Amino acid sequence: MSHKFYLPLLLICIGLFLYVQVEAQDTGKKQNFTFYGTVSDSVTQEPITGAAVFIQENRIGTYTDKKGFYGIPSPPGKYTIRISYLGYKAKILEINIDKNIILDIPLSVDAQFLEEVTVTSNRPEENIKNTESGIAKLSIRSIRKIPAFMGEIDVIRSLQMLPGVSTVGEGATGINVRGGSIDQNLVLMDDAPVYNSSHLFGFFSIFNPDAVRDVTLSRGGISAEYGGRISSVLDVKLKDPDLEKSTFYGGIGLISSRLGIETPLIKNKLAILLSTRASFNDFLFKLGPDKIKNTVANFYDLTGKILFKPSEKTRLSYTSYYSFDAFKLPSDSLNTVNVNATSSTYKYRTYNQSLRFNWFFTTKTSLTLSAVQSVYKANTSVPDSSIAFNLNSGIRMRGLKARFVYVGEKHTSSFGLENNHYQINPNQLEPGPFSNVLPVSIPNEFANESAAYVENEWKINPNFSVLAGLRYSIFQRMGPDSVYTYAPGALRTEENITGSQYFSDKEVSKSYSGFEPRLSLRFGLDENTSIKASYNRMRQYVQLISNTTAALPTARWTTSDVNIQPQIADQVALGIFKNLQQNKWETSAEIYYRKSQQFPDYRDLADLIFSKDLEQQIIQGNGRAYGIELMARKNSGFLTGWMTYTYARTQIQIDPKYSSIHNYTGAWYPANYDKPHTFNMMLNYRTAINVTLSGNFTLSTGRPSTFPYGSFTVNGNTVPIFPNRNLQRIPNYHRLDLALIVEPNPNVIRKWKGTWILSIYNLYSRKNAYSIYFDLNPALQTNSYKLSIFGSAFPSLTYNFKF
Amino acid sequence: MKLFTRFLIVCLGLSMCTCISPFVADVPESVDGISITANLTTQKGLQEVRLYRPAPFTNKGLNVPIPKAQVWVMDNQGQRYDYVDDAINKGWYVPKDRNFVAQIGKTYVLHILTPDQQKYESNPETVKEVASITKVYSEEIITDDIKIGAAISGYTVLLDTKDPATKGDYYRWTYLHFEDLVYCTQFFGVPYGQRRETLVGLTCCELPCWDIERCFINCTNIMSDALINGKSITRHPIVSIPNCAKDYYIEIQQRSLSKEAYEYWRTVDQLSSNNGSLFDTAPAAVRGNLKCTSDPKEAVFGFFEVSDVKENGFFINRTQTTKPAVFTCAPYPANANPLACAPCVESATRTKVKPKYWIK
Repeated sequence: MSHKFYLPLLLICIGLFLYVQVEAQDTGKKQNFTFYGTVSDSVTQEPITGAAVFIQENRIGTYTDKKGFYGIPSPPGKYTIRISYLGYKAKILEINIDKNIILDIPLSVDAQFLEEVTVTSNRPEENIKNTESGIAKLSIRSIRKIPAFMGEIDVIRSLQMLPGVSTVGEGATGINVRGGSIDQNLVLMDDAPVYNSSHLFGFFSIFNPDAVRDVTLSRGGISAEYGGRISSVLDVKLKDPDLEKSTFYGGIGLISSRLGIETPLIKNKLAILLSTRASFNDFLFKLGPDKIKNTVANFYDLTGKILFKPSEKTRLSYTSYYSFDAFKLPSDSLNTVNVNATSSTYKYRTYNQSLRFNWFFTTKTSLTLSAVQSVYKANTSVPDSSIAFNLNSGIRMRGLKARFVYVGEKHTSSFGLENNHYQINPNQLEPGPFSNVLPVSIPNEFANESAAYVENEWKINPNFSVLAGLRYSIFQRMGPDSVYTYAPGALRTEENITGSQYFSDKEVSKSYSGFEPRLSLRFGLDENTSIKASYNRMRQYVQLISNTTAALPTARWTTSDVNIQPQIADQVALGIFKNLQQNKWETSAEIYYRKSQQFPDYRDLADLIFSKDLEQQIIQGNGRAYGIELMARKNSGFLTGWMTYTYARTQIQIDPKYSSIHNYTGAWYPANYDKPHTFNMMLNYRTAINVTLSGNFTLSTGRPSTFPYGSFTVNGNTVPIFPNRNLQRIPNYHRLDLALIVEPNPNVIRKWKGTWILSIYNLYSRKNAYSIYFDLNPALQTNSYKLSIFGSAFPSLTYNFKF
Repeated sequence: MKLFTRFLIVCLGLSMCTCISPFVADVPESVDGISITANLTTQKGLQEVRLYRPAPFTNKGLNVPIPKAQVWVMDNQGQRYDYVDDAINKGWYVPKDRNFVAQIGKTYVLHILTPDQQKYESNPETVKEVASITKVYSEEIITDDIKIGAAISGYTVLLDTKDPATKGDYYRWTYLHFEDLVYCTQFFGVPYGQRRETLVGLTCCELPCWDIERCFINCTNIMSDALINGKSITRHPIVSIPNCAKDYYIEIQQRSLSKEAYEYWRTVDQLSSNNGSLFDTAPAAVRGNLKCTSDPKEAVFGFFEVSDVKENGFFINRTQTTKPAVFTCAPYPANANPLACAPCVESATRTKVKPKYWIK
């Protein structure tokens, strides 16, 4: 099955490869020599995207690409080259071109230059010139400027300030991008997918800010390189260790403390980065009120990266990441197994590894090979001997990727292949030695997902460019697997089972495949204005199964199978981008509409933990998400920042023929994370060379909720009567945070560099609702209550150092 | 350092306010519809129908009873059984013929005509036989006491039964506890011949007299044979009782359920334990088997449950144990006045009739 589909694609890929080779040779004949290399920050080694490299004599030049790479063909001779980038000291070099020259250029930060670029490390006009839309890139430098919650710089929280990104509440796992659920985002850390990006439920993300280089969120024009999720791609790239000198850094904060080292092992060839972070905050709970005194919540993570650069043309890197979270809550608070426990312990861990090889075999072509493994494991346990149990679940993904890129003057082409293997352990309940709990064992799920893609960006003329990609993906659910078949069109219930089938080891029990076209168009109206349109089709074969408002860290992953169809989404987006006053101001307006097929919803009181036949708990219907995103950003000056407004809706529609399992009327109803209006404002004000004052304000509609409107009594139970799902909302959310960042004066040269960050979260102490709950105690005055996680301002102080 | 410590304390003080504040939810003042809870069994005395209005979802919401309705049950042979208003409880109805019981295999339909001329009807429900209870027994609950170490602090009442080979058997268990009384009334006062005020009581004028105790909170005890079909159901917990220096009498009813009734009870159980947190499952509708025939839009909540009942009763020995024990039951009153007595008044919670399995 798979070979039939692979072959033509492979031929296309090889064809393209040959074409590129031929073209590369052709251009080689016309120009004598090329000089190329990368432009990077002299301190952080971060590649600088969009730096101008200019030959003054013959007035030709180029900008560096996303990886800081540039290449200029030139006739032989002596030249003066000027390399410049906003915020850095411009560099002028004299070079003699008599052969192909590799020239890596470090640029140092211009401390006197008080302007700074927020949000993006890209050049400001990139939003106009790039073909893709809906892409936001945050460098760690700009993330550090956003007021941090509890002093913890956080990648995921920073993203929530961007248009189209939201969350169901403080402490909820994951993010919702353009009305997608949390599992519809592909989160990658150095190529390896992350299955739970949260520490401490969802208060912090698992990415150690000391080890992160930059974060790219694609929510509009998603490259054909990525697949497997229908809503967005969050690509977190870790920093490369410094090949030249050793650096130590760390920080002490209220929640966690960090320590890291970067050191070359062989100068300019081999270097290592080790960074760790751990929380020691149990004592916080001990000081709290009685009911949380026994709470334990801790986490730590370790990030390691080795970079080997045997030559300028090849590099090999290995990333290893481990994170661990544990929390103990009084009673079976999360109602996992429905036992009356005195306490429950939840543990989860992520172990990701990735090996990546890059080979820049000509100035214009490169090949990347990578192998990744992602492991995520969750455990719930209860100690009480009569009901003691251990509930384990996990997912392991192993993948191989190959990607070839050709960068030409008018064409940038790429193609690649990808294969992922999944092994999912849905849930194993192991009773303790004296326990009355019955063991439950749900067989492992095995699946293969393969894809091939080609992509080409064609800059037809300065005003018009097209980025077209085509991805073809094949998914195979593998045996051992036993499946039920149901009467066609009938509700999937035990009664409607018509037969069953067993598939042995390595046998394909079901396969799905299809094309995923991607298209982005850019039309420049003038130097400072462009209109962009995009269309994407995405397919998702692996999903998180959760019917709670915020997914639990212990929620179960599953793959598509005979009965559960893959989710397919088509998104169209249209945007206008305009820069004003020489790129000092960036503005944009984007609208999007996404239609999803096989959007999952759950039957009333679905049993998602122990169901062996998950298809009986899931109903698949239609989903739609649409909205408008407005953004204005000021890039330079003493005051920088941005302001965004988002109108976004996400709705679900289920065929009323399923009304026997929930009151489905066939009408569209809001998803749990449907939050129509969001306004965000983020400001940085640089008062002195080393002092930055920053603030952010956020305002959004409360998430949907279902409040009971009546009750009746049955056998001593007060049974609430609910209207249809999600027709009411919790109160609106708004919050203001402030931060004061005092950095060392960059003009004074010293070894030890310390930074103080004082931040106040929720400055005006708004009691934002986390949830609304009801307590019908006749002795009380009211019956409905608002639970706020942070009822008051939360100041925190963090000290970071580097030497 | 001192400054830092102080700062930390301030931070903590401010931060630990995970706070709860009253919230005015948009809850309607009154709720339309009717709530019907009806049981028809093969056991005498367990037939009843309760009619109420649903209450608004507030702590002041009251389920208003609906008296003076016409209630009757029709079987599949066209036989009609009329119900009458219960003498004690408003809105409750009992069969006119106190000996009326359902018969296994027969199908019954409940009909109601309320005083406001609304007609209600249930789906036809067939009585399915339930297996007998094979064994009822108890187990000690051992806890670690600070002073005496491992000690009996209570008992768990357990039950065994044998599930028939057929698939799709559903069970519900209920129980009644009869407490033989010495004192028919209790109050705070000065015991006879003493001075300090404490809990005192007056002996019953007629003995024996029993208090009837029912489960009153989280009483849904149901099970499906999906995981154990054809095997024995063993060690199924019925109730946990405290430890007192007195034997404990309990009657357990094992009832058969239809699949719809099982789903209904499961929904009731889960919905009553949701508390509105982010980790609650999505709210669900409670699906009953009753509808309003005169106005199809009228919301009808509740269920007409038809079941076969097998019953067993036994004594839990709490007195003849050699193990150390901690007593966890309510305090025993002192005699207020040996010359006075209180009457044993027949009611839903008190009786002079000797329980069926009382062998003492």
